[in-house]
Amino acid sequence: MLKHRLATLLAVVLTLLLAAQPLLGLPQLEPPARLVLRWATIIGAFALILGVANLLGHHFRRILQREGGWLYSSLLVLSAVLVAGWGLYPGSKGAAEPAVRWAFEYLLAPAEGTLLALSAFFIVSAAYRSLRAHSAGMAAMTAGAVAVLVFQIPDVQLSWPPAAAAHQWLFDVPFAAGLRGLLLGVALGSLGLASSILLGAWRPYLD
Amino acid sequence: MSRPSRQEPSANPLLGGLQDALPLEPSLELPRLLPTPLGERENGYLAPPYEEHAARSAPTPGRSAWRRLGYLLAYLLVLVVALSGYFVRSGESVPPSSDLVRFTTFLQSLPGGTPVLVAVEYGLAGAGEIDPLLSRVLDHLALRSAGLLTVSTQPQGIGVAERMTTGYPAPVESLGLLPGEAAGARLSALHGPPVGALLIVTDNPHAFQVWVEQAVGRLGVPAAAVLSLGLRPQARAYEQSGQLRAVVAGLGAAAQYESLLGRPGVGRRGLDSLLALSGLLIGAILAGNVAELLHRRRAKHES
Repeated sequence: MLKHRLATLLAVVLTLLLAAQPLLGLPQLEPPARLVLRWATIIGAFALILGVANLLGHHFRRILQREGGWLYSSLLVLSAVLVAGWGLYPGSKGAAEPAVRWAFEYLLAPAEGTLLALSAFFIVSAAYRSLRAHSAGMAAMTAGAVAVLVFQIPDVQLSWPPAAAAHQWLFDVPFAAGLRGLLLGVALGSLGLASSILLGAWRPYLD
Repeated sequence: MSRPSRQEPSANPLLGGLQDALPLEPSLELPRLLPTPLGERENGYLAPPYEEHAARSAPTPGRSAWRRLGYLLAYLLVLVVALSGYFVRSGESVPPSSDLVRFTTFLQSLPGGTPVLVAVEYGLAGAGEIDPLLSRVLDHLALRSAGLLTVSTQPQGIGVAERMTTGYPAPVESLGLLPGEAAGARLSALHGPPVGALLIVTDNPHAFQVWVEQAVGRLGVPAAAVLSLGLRPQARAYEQSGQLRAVVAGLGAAAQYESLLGRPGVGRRGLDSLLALSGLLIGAILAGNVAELLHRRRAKHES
């Protein structure tokens, strides 16, 4: 119980400190705020290491117990150990080490690019299946999608100048309005979450 | 009503035998029904009811082979169209947009040799869209002899920055990974080395928001952004508020930059492919609507 209270107190005090420093602009608050930020980044780095250790531990277990897909797990562990080994051995240049860069450039980049390239097939499939004007709302959505696709073509913009203006208007007004609404919603949500943490009503750090 | 579960084999040949191999596949293979009453109402906007779809797409022995052939041809068409930019070169220059003019004016306004903090917040998945644009921006910065300080709050960002700045003619220093997202961005703004400008390069809405909100005001230097096209509307709000001086986004901007510098390259070819694919998308939408209309007529006639 005491441990929980201490954790809550610490979270409330640190949150107040970080919120007060830019709001009040007091120079006395800057050194402790800086210290807290450094702690946060150091803890973040350790969380990353912990995440990697957890992932490797999980896959080691799968290999040892010969669970389904253990071969993929061994591939994952082997790749992780090899790349980390290249980057960490004494005298290595880390991310600039040629072997690490080779793996990044010629293994990871093509693999991720290939995976993303598949989205072209999904998008065409989705356009055929989903953008159907079977209701007023869907008709508006379909018309909007077609308008954006047509108005963005440079040749259309050159041969018919209102297309460029319409394209700009779509981005500046309806899209920007929607996204501003979203940003405001996120900001209000963050404010609510911060208030919950400040009041000790929500304690995610104890989970 | 029976609902499709993720475990059921897909009736759809899309990635047949590789169900759930990709994150989008389960959501696209069948229209989803949202469980709440509101969801069921909203579902009407997004997709026809599941039973209707299932009845329509139920395979009959004769139709199945034609269907597969149809899918194969359709996917081949997508492939050919997507690669068209690499085989058919239009060679036409793309006139600069007002965004690009603002951006180049911003870079020109930086004093020669200014150190620029470059927050590289995109991974390899977004590299196809952002790399061609960032390459041209780095060419322009090199012309201004600007020194670069690269930083990222995501592990892949460091590798991407390393890859993009190899061969950059002015000094480049990597500040490394800054874990802790908002805390990392804020820390680099408050306690990083002095810089003359900030350049945010990202395809990630959260990272973009974090850098603008945590670093731009605190650094006290002019900031600009190089983005994926999907983030362009979000950037408009920051641009209008004066937090960002200039923004360029997408392959279109890369092609414009290449035309401006007189160096046609990957951006122009990528834009050609993208535009061809846009044409195909319009065709797919129209075909879908024609199919819908024909189906409804047939259903009405039968009833």
